[in-house]
Amino acid sequence: MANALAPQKQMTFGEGGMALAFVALALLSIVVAAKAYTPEYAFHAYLFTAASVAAVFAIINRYYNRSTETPPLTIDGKPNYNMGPVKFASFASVFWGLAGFSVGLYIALELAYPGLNLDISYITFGRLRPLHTSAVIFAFGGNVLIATSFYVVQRTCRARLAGDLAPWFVVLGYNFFIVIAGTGYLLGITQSKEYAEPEWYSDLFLTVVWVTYFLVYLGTIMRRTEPHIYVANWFYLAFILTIAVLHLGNNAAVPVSLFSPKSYIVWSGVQDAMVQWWYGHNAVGFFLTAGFLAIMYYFIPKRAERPIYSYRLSIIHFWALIFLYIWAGPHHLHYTALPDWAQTLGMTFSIMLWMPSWGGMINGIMTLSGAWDKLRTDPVLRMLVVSVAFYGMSTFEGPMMSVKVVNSLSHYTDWTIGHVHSGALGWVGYVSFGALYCLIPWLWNRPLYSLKLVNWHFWISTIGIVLYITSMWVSGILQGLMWRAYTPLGFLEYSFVETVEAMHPFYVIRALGGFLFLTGALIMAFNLWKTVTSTEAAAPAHVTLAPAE
Amino acid sequence: MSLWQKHAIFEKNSIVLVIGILIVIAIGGLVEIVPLFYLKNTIEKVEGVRPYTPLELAGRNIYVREGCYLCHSQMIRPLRDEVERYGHYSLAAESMYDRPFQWGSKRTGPDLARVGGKYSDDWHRDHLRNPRSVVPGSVMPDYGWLEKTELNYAHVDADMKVLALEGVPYTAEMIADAGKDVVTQATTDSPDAGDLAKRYPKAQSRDFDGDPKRITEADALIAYLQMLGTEVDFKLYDDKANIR
Amino acid sequence: MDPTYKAVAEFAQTWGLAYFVVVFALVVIYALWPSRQKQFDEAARIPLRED
Repeated sequence: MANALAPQKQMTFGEGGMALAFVALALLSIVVAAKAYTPEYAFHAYLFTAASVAAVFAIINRYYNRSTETPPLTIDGKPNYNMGPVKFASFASVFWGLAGFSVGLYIALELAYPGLNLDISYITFGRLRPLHTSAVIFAFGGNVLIATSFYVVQRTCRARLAGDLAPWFVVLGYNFFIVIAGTGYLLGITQSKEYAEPEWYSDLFLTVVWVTYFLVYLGTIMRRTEPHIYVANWFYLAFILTIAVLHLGNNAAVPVSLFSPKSYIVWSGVQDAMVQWWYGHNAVGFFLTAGFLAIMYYFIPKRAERPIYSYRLSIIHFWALIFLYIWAGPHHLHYTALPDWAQTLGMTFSIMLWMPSWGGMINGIMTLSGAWDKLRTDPVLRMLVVSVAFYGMSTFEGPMMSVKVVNSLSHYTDWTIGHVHSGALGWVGYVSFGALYCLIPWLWNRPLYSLKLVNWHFWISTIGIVLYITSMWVSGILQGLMWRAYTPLGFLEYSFVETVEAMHPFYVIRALGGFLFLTGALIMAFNLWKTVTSTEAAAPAHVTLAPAE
Repeated sequence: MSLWQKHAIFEKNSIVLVIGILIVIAIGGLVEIVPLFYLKNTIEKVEGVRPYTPLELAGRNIYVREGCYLCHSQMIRPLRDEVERYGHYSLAAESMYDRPFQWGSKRTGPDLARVGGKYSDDWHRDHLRNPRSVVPGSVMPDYGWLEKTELNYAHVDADMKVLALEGVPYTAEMIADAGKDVVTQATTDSPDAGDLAKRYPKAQSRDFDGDPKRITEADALIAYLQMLGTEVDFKLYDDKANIR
Repeated sequence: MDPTYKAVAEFAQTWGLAYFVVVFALVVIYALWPSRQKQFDEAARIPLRED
């Protein structure tokens, strides 16, 4: 009996339990698909079935192919890092980025040339717009955050990622959620809460994925060999935790039936509005800010090969930022039927938020003090630092727009869209691109294919961003002023549609800006693809350079 | 051990850090959200606000499905030009049965909080079919398929049951008659229209999309649009009593 | 004016304000305490140390 001599290979509890859970999910999805109220929902149920079956197959296949022991935590005293899920998520982020930017360009063109809606329900502006926002925020940004957080937590804790299947469940589950959410928008499945459009069943699934994400992250921190928890991990942890709380609060809905995609939120009217913008603004504050600040706190010091400017400032930055951000939501509801006291609180805290935001910006940029020359020679570092400059710009603009008088003009106009994009394209986009330009060569152990192409990416995108923001400033302020313009006789000067017609040239310029930004991202995708597929191994120079003391 | 070394547990102990973060982020949300449920002056006392009829509810769900809220707000601010352009500023009471709320955040198109009764049904049908046929400069997409798609209202009573569970005052009778009420409201000169209006005051019953033979998604959406902002009689509304 | 509103607002504008000021001061004192300099410098070097 050869079997008796070799150590017995056993299925772990995780493998067995997960396989069973997916079998159950597959069976449930088949029942739901058969009895679904709408064909769109049945389609989603079949997707769940297919994904569950694939998951069972993958788990069993992996079991047969793996060695008897699960991977060791350390090899020769060095942590045995688990970079597979990180590679997958960084790849996915580039893919979703290109998809999200392309949809953004298309809907920008739809606003300039409405014929492009083509009378096809799936591609009308109203259905594509959530696809664009979710694709860029949650698909592109989310995968960047998962990739970098799993990388940074392992590196700064000097420990292997917790869990065996769990990290894979996080990245694959998260991307499956994105497929469900995205196809749902095209098919008209939405609960109409901005940046939280997916319906109840996608929300439930995301909750399971997100809790696993949190446990993997926390588990990795707990097995660290470094006594101190590096500050980037604080920001990642705040991002993961707060998004969980916000997601549960804003999606508290009762489904019509197990067989219906539709649900009704338990909050109504003014309370629902407050809960929505408590969520909405903190999706900005914790997803798009805290998470990406964690990237700043790791990748800028790493790339510049100098420690962060002031570690003490980063502690004050952290606590002040997460405390103040949560209050800022009501500035989305100025002059609405939300009670005045809540509006005043929202405005006050939004203005105060300027301080920690700029504290963080100074901390990031000043890390380069004494090494400014690197901005000239390293376009990746330049991208990272310019992203922080954009962060500073939009975190100055934001508090200004939260002042009620300014908001009375800017609200409901394109100024808001311009503000969001100065943060989204300039800050989130650039810090993500910078991180990917660092991360992918590190992960695949290859030199970056071309720094020259990074330079092209940088300049083409920057021109795109400038065109985008300036055109939206002009159109927003112009439209706001036209709405409130009066003739000498005291009548409103412009009909609504006249203010729409006046926007046309700016919508065209905006689309051009978006086209340039997309072009830059395509250059990046090409560059990263060439990096991964090259056969040349990276020179170990990056690793051995001693930090300047 | 000094007090300051004790603080180092934040940087060394992950569970303490997690709890610290949760406490710090809870404060702002609790202070801003919880009082909205307890302060009586959050929602004004107004006559006339009622739950949606089954047909209006179905129309509202189409409004949600198509993402209309992405370009049209339903929230008139108390600013001179807005009140002159759109009508009386919006009250919190007017959206008290709205799940989810549809205040919106962007006006690529005009506010719709009081669009009810401003245009004819025919205008709405033509406008949905091809917005530029009635408003030449419009950038709105065509929604031609709405009047070609039969309304699926087989489960509208299930929707109302869930809403009733969440506190919308739908009676058992309203839920039982939901399917019948859809047909009544979408029919011109229906004998049951008076009955419907008793259950849902000011409900307007007629064929909305110009095709009396069938009930389409356009019927439902236009029925919803035509009731927006018509519930409260502002001649009777006392501004001063509800100062907040 | 709602009496509950008045009571809550009064509390927030006095004790609430004082509480936040004190907590903020504690965080700042903690971060700037001189004897912690060395520990923070070490922590800041974590990303730069390679294994």
